[in-house]
Amino acid sequence: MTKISDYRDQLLQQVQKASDQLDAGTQEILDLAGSDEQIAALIERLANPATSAADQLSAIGTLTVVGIFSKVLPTRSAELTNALRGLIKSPDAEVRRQALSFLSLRGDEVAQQHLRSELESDKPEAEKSVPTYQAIAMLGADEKGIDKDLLLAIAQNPPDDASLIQAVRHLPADADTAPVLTKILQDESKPFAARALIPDIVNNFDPGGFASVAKRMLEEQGAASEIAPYLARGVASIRPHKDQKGVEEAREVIRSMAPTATVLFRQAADQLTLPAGALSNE
Amino acid sequence: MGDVGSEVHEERPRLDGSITEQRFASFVDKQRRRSSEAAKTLLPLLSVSHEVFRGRSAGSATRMRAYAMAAFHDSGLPNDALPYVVEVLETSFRPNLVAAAARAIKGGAAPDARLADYLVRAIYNIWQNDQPVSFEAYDVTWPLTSFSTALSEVLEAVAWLGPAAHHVVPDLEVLLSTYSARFSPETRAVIARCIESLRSYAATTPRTCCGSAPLIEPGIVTTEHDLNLSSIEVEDQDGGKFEWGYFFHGKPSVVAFFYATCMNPRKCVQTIYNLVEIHRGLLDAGLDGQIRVAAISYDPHRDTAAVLRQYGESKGVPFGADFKMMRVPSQLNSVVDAFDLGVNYGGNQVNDHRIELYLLDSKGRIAHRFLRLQADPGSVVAELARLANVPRNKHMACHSGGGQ
Repeated sequence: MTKISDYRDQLLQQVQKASDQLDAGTQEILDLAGSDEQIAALIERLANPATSAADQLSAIGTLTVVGIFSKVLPTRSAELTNALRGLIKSPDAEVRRQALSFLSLRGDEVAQQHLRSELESDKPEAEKSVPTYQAIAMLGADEKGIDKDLLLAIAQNPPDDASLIQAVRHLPADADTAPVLTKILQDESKPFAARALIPDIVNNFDPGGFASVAKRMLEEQGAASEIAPYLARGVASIRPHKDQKGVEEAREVIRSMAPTATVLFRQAADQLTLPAGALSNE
Repeated sequence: MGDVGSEVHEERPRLDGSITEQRFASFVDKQRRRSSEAAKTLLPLLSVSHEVFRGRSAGSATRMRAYAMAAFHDSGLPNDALPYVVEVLETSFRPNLVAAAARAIKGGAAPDARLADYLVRAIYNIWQNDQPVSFEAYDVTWPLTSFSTALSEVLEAVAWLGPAAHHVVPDLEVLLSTYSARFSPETRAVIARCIESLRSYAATTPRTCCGSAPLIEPGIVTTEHDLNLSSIEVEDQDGGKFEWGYFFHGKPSVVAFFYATCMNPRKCVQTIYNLVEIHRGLLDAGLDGQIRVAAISYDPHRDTAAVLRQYGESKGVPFGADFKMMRVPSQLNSVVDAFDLGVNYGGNQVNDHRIELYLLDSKGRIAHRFLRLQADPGSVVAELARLANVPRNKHMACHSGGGQ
């Protein structure tokens, strides 16, 4: 019969073994991070067309980890960029995705240009290097990676829900985008994840217009609706501005609904502690 | 390069936002011959505000501009192109543009010692983000089997300057001694070769100093050109709206252009910090209340009043009646035209811009401009004192125009 102490010793041995393995792996990574020869060899393998997709992915993964702390890797940025640019059109979808992701996160112009061209093209979704929603997310890592007109076009005609969500996430609020975003907000057939983003995007561009839409939606759909807490938070976050009447009316509706509403809604309503315009210095 | 005769009769493409990047590159390729005429044709393409860059992403505009700039290596680099080259070396963090500027230098008729200092400064802008570059063709197939990089182009340009760059040997030595670990063994070898090559020249060319003409001159404007902006509406960081003339007429003013989402630390962020320093200098010089200070956004869509206030506060802007950050909500084009601003847009997003700071007289006319490089705050205060008819005090007289 196995004693408890034996069982404990077995467990400790297993933990020790796992720990030893982890240490060995960690040491390997640390050695690699400090070795110009090893990093150069890894990049060379990445650039070699004969390297299998599995090995390419493994190399990208290793370089991604090493890139966080290695002082040597930045000295090889030109070679690494050259190799990764060569993988943008890899026949392997995951290699393409990881190469584009690595490069675009660093603002690489070649990767960005490639992604933009595909978003602008009428290529079928299946033929693109990466799906539209991933391309938007990659380009969105750079403030100037993707322009408003392109995002607006995708938001109005998205290939799928995920692309609409990403397009909305990256759209600024202005005279061109606010009407489109407000329309999506009111359209219950659109994905909730996209609609929930919109109040915090448009609320301070057109406070009166947004407050009016939010008030009507709250009155029609009630505080228990899924979108209600997001509408309430959007109204609560409106900064003081000259025309506060419409905003104050929406705030009143939210206050009146709060006592019997969900926790999320009440949390949003709690932000209405100050009357609209109280912070105004005008 | 093809038959010269046929080039003469070939129709020149329309260089605006509608031309494809490939057609643009083809046009540039045709100018890649040693010819002052070709250089003259390329020159306007160095301006960020050229209409060929309009409507393009920042990446595309930069790539096209870099391709045009690199072509001066072949056409020859005229003096009129030098300010653009210097501007890029001093302020750009984009490896392909820096590489193009370095390459263009080698098209110069004679090495200019002053360029060596800018090349060394460019190394510090790009050393952590060196990239492969190729100017042989616009579209290349990656990966390249052999390539140069921005760093290697810069170092080659330093070596090309020969005796004229002898004075930067100590700067290069610092790179090898203090910052050796920041370079690959190959780059260290290139730096070492560059040092060796420069050392082999006798130090015949003196280091550029106060007596040499600056590569970019701050411009005194002598025409009394009216900007005709008096009635356009401006909004400040508090949402207050007023007419242009209300702020810019009656007292001399200093106005800088910027936008809050500019990611280049040598440009807008530094411009605003300098504006704060200029304001401090005005107070020290006893000019409080006599000069107005303004920063106007290139991007009125994103830089709302709230953004302007938040951005200004984060940079220590002492907002007040005579120091405002502004946006021009609906008539920015009039301001761009009146000042002939060096800015361009992709959609309503800035895709590139130069550094620009203007001094206006009490009638709101441009009296002085500091373009492309950051103005020395002391020089600006001195010029403002002149505009306000206040004698320069000892403190201001110490500044002699550094930074230009």
